[in-house]
Amino acid sequence: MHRDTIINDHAFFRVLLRAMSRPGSVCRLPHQQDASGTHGGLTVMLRCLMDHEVTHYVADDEPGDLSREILRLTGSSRAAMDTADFLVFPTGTSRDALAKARRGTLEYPDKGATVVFLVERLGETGGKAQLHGPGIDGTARPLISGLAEAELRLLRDANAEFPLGLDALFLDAEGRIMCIPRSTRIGVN
Amino acid sequence: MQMREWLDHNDARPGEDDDRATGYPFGFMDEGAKREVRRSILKAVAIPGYQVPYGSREMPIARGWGTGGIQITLSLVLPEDVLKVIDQGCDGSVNAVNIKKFVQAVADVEITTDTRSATVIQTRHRIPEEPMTAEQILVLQVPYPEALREVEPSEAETRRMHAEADYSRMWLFLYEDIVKYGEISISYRFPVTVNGRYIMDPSPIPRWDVPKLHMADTLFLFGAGREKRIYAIPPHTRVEPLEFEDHLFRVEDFSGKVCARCGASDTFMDEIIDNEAGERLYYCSDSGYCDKRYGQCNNH
Repeated sequence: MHRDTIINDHAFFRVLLRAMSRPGSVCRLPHQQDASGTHGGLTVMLRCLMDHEVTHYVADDEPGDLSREILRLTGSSRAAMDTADFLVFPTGTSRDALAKARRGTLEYPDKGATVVFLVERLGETGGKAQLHGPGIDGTARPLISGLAEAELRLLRDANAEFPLGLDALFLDAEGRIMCIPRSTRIGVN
Repeated sequence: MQMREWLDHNDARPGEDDDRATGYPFGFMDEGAKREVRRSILKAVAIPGYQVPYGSREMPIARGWGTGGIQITLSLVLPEDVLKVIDQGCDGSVNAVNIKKFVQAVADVEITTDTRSATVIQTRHRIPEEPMTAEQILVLQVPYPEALREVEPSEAETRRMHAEADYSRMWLFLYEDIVKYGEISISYRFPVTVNGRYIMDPSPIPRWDVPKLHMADTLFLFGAGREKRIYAIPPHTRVEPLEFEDHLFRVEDFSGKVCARCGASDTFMDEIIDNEAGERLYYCSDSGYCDKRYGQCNNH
């Protein structure tokens, strides 16, 4: 790999790490030179994490374009929804798939899946859901526009039995990300 | 000459004839290795205190000498980072100097001994005295990641114990310690509970440093290269040392002791015996902090 590409992956990971360690805070991904198509930021972001050792599932991807792009860029192959390591929901809805995603085992909770939602816009305040837990100083109320209403409830239910659960990552159209790992308690009606 | 000046003079800005590594990719490791380390780091952050197994790679130093910390550092380092490496508080030990020179050679980072100006700090067995900020990351080298190993030699069994939060034998071990010695006698690697769930080994930091992990602004990443485990404590996370209501956790007592070099009385200190004079002297364990105080005292 070219040196600039490698450094770019490092920069993406630093933003991911910051977002995952501070749930509810919105972080901006580095500017992309080689991002192509509507999912450019997503696939370049996944490149710093994924390779042929992990699998992915993309919802609402009937021709399979996004899945092929992920395979081309990272080497990660496609798998079923309930076995994949990474789940991508490009339309902001999982259609109840979160309930079926892999949550890990008590011995190996790290086998729980990472889910990625593409949403319209992220904001640090103004959301309905109240988050608290590790990484949050007090509480957070992030705004996630474009996320189906049921998703946070599904995520809360999937993460009800810590340490089992899913780690969610939200990416908006302007290249900002926000995370809700399984350690975060979600207060939502 | 102070240690910081010496390092700045010799290392901070390599000249044209420096020994920068050539033929290696940025960050030394292959990208597949970095990706696995990164996935493990993210899962470790998402499950505070849980030890994530990973495929630890060969490094140009022997396992047990900080390879876990190095792999974490190399997976996230950026050329604009300012790196500080300490070994038991000392910026100038052989292990610390070698690691910082290595990372500088493969990632072009600037190195420092100043805690406040560092963006990434890799450490063996100490947490810096100066408070760290939200913009910094502390990477701790870990020799023995399993806090329950003292009471259970089997990895399969300790995994089950963590899975079921079955920590009764650990509590019994501490109780027996109190029966024998009148208090919990663990001086370093003091077990802590993270986020009310996992019992975790905070690496061999002294008791003095354990409270710094609690509700901190900083992200703590722990790497055990030989034992192939990564774990983490995110910022603003409850980290509570194990204690009983009638035998509370306490840190080391340095009351009445003053650093013979900088005059500090509020730091973790090393005891040095002066054979010729036959007296005991105390020095700050954190050499960067001591240098800074010493410099300030001499400038006034």
